[in-house]
Amino acid sequence: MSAIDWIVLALTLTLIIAYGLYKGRASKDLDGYFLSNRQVPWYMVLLGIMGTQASAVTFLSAPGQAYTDGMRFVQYYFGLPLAMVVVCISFVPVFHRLRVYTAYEFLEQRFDLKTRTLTSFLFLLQRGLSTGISISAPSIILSSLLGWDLFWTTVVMGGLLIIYTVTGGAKAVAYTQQLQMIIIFGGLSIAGYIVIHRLPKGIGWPEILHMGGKAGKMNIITTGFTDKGGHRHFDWNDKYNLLSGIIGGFFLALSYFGTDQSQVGRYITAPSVSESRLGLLMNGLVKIPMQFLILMLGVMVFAFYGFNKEPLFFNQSQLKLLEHSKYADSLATLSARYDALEAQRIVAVRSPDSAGWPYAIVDPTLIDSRLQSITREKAQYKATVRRWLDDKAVGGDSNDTNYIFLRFVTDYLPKGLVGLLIAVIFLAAWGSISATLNSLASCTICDFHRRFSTRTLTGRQEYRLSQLYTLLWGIFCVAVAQLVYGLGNSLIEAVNVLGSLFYGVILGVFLVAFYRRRVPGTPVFVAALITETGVIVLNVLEKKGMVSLSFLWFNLIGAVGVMVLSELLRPLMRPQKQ
Amino acid sequence: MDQPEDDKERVPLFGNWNYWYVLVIGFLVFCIAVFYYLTKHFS
Repeated sequence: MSAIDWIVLALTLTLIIAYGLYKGRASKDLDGYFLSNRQVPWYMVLLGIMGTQASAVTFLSAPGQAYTDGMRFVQYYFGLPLAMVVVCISFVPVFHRLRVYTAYEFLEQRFDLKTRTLTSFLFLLQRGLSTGISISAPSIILSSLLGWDLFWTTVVMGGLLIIYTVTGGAKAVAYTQQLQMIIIFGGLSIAGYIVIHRLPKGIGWPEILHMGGKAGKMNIITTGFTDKGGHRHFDWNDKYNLLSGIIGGFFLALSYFGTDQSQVGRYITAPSVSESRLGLLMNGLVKIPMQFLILMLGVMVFAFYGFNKEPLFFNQSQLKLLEHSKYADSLATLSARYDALEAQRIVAVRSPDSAGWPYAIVDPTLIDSRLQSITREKAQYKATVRRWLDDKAVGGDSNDTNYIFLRFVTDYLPKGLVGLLIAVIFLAAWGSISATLNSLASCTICDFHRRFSTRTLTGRQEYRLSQLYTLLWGIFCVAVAQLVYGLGNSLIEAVNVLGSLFYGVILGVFLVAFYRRRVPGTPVFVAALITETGVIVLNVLEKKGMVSLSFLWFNLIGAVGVMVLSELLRPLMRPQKQ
Repeated sequence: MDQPEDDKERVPLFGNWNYWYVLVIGFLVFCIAVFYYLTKHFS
């Protein structure tokens, strides 16, 4: 990075911290610290829930996902608008009426203390660990690509935000998320403009979409059905298709927005049910188009590399790993051949007299024989590098999806903008992590400390204690991030799987609370424990290859499991609390 | 989609929250239809 990039990066991050400290002044009690005195307007609720959901990995990974696998990832969000409607109808009015600090507080009023404590504990366990991983994943990507020290990258990624989150609580989180989202959308829009601007003359939106389509990147809607042995069958292990997106995505989004305190803590800060609902429903309207545009950035980058030299492997650190392995000499020869091949290809594809131009670049049926052989040979070289990285003696990572967009940014964006886009990654991480730290602290103090401590504290003392818990959770998450480096790229998958292991069960408890009025606490508590064990066993079987099931379905299984089991157990257990 | 009894606040833009819910679900259907068209057209 150039000096200008460093200045832009430092200024942007400093601006956010200063803004958070300035805007985070609220009354020094729990209402001020965790609920912003319930004065956050709907548009800040909207930006808050969007900023909490969109982590750094969202912006790093999504364009790369579209580049390699196509646009079908957008289907993952199809259940979200439906979940927003259910949350608005059932969850929001109850949380507001009871004036709760945490979602789990409601469960004590509906069931009993043990059910509240169990769900809050599951949330703390899952969120504490996954936030550590959320800090680690983008830190590894940035440090690999930019050669930064991993320890300090992690400290900046997960540590600096603690300053304003501890000081200003929910109010600082809300105001900084507002500014962060503006900078993030601004930065991504500029990046998109530059991709199009750098394409050859005559290449615009229609050509980009056609090129993407011919290369299989415009697979926005997929059914999940595949032909096997002459029969069409549904692939339950396929993560992104219409059915898993609507059903699996619905249960995931309902769990996340209805029962995860990091999201509940955002919309209960609104002054009324109407303001909370408006923020959530607006999220239901804008989330899918927003995700579509972020993925489209990947298709645009794909079109860009059709006319420009595509790296042999986007993650340079892995090539360096090969340079110090038994494949060092072979890599040098292969790299030289690849560079020569790419040079020939660029000359060929930039001449509009190529057969079928510009679609010949991606469609083998249109490609003339010369381009056809170049394309085939190039694919072979890339596959060879992946095979070398998969060699256990090398111990590399052959998946470079998460490095594609950032590599484009560092290689092709002008000075200053590189710094801004790196800042976007940090801000995305900060927006998500700060909200989570605030929610972890609110659950710790409200669901555990205040509930089980015999000592009565003043509002001021509780405020100070909340700040301390926020700080301790921040340190814990950064420490977890430092400990999980060894998992590499599988970290991103780990966050999603970890969430799905617990979300379904917690959602099941809430669904029984809302819709099965006759079921008391003990059957729900026992059903939750049994179902949670079942989901964990299912995950172990899936990892061992004994069951073929995408993690998205764990949410559905967990929720339905708790609902059915609690009904079955109800006649066997006497209610402990009327 | 019953209106909760305790929620008597003014509904922005429309007279009833149910219209908002229909709008959100309708927009989802519209998005899926547009995506389906794009998938078919560009594949």
